[in-house]
Amino acid sequence: MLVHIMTQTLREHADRLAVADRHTRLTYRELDQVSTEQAQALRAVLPDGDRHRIAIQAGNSVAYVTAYLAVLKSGGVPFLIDRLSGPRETAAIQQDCGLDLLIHEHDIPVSAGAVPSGVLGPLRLSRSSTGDRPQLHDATEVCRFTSGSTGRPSCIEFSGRAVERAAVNWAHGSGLSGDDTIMCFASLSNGLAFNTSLLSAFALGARLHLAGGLPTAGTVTRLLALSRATRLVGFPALYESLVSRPLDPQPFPHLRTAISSAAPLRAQTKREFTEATGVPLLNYFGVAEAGPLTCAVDPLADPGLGKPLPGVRLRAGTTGQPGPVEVLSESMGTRYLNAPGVLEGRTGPDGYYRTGDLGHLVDGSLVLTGRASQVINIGGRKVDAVEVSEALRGAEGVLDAVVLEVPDRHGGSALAAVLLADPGLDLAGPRRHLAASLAPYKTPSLMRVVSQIPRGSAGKPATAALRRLFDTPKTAETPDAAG
Amino acid sequence: MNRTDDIRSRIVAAVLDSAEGDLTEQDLAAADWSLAGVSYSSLAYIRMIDTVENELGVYLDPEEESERFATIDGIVDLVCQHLRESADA
Repeated sequence: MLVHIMTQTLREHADRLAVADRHTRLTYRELDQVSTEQAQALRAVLPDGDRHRIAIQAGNSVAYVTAYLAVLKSGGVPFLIDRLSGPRETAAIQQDCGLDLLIHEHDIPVSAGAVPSGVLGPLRLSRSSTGDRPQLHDATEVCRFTSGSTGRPSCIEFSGRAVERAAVNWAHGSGLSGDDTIMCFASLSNGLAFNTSLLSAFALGARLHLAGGLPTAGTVTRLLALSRATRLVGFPALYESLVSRPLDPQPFPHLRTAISSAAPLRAQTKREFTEATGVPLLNYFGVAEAGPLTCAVDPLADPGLGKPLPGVRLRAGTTGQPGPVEVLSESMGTRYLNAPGVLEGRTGPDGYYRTGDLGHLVDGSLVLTGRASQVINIGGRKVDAVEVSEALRGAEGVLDAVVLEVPDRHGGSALAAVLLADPGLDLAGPRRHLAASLAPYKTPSLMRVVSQIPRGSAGKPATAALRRLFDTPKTAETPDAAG
Repeated sequence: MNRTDDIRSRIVAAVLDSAEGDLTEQDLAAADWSLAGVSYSSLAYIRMIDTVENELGVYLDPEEESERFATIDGIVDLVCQHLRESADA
């Protein structure tokens, strides 16, 4: 289904600019040609057959987009892995999902058994041998990953229709048109970018500019001027950076809409951005398993994250009595390939999926009030506390570990760890251990060493007591030690 | 204090101020002035680069020059290079 849609749109908008990064620009016709050639190259390195499982692990670039389309055109199923995933996570994905091929940047470490198998543009190919592996659902056309609560990345299977509905419903609900130029700073493996900027842009003939690296105010300002983007997509940190410095009057004359998601956006940031730029900053709510769900199209008047997008139904609590957020969406994932029954277990008999959030509806707009699950959100990146705790327990000298979220001194959230260890433990050891296995953002910024982990009467770590360990900065006399 | 020392002290201050919590200069020194060695987060990097750009009037490109952001020494060299280029222009 996705191949058919893409082939049609690539030919319909042939002479328009389709996608660009700092170094490369391709029209829809050129994107069609390059991806077709790359699809042939992929078929040449894979055995006969289709539905090969082909992972892409790379940063935002035109090469990423051509590779994604090439996988679809080759008859394969793309598995979109976070560029920052560490060797341990990638190995777990390989083991769980039985990947046939990894398309990756040159500096990404691949699993020990992988065989270099050529290149695809600037990206490398590495073949893997697969043993027993779970069957893909018949309707699956794309797989993406989310940090679950199982200690391993969960692989969500999406049908072509779910991907297409996510794109179309987002475009309709947010006012995206074929005249738009999108500047996207979010990683294409992330739902924010995947749903707002990939198929949704191409289906309408819009232009997509991709940025990698950190979204500092200087970089965003320069790239917006160069691209003349009408629509900006990024995490809240991007907007916090932009409002941290004085902006010229009418700094972005072409920009019409800004989109933020994946982490809480401060009301002050939203207001200051719009006052400084004259551009509405739309917050949207989506979850990896269910796609984009709401959009606040009138952000200064909307009390929350907006009303449901087309094709979405929402249930939550009431003002004063928040309840679990449950959604029924056309863009829902089918299941977890590597965790049978888990996604289905969060879905009620009427098809509504429990997102793990708590909230209520105000005049139909969703207001989130908290989380019912243990996944930690740091600036839009989801971290599974179980996964990080398990990894820390493997570090030399660490007897036990609890990972939690604590407030930081900039008004945001920080990832923190409490380690049961000898008071003399050098924290460089656990940090190196994590850096060698997990994505960099999964290494806690703050760590405390204790001689006993505070626990409640049921034996569970006492979160309030653990958080208090971070109330006072560590001192020279008691570095990293408490308890 | 010469110009390079002054820039270094301002960059170290920006790094410490931008961290999520209680990072100290001693922690940095113990990590051989490597930011990865103290688990410096991407959000802290954004705040630090904003501060350095605002205070010193340079533009730092973390995508094109990413390797130079790994250590304090690399950032100091990069900022000094940009300041020299601005002065020569």
